[in-house]
Amino acid sequence: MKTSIQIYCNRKNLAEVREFIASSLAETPLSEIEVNALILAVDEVCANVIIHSAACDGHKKLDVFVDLKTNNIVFEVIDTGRGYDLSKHKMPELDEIIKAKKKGGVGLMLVHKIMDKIDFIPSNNGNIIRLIKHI
Amino acid sequence: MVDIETYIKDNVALIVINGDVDASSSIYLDESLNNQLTKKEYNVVVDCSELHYISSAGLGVFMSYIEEFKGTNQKFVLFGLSKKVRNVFEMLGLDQLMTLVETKEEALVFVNEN
Repeated sequence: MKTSIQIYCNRKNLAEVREFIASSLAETPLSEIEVNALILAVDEVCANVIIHSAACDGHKKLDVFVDLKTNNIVFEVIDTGRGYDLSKHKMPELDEIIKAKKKGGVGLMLVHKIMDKIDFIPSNNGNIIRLIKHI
Repeated sequence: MVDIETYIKDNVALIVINGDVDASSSIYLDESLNNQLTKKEYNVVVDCSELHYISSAGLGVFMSYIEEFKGTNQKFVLFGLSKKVRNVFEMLGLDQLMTLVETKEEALVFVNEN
């Protein structure tokens, strides 16, 4: 079953995405901790798109799709901004971030820990970030 | 949405978080912690029992104060994290780098230890 939501690229709309993911996963046998982790991964990707790809332009929109399959769950975040290739993101070391007192840089680290596969697919109609979780 | 209140008692600034700390609201957590860092007067105890959700933006704020509070000799402890919120800290190994305890009583014992 595939469901979707569209939001304007504003960080304040992240809560709406989280509610959508929570309701999409409500009927799955996943635990509360697992559901929260999946919500977190999608939230992190959307936050990155809003901040980097759409550059916080509140007139732009992004779409989030959830496809519940037999053996996996596929999440897609699609935007029409300049794109943000997660696979090219350099993973920082945690202790370096702490020593530098930086306030960011761990979002994509979390996405990689939570999801089994992450694809970045640029296209003319929008950039697709596809996250796959085996269940 | 998040609501953050700070209560001062004895040698402790008790920061109570109620709601979600994400990319849109982490700035408020940052302000509350920064207030205590600037004052340098109180140990910092964060009540996370009504923290319903945290993303990397919130974790990043907490992480950035680990070294700061060491520098000012202010003790820094979080208590009352739900299982799902604690799991997010554990994914990054932050439970080993920060002091996370179950109850307010344990947090107060920690700040009053030598």
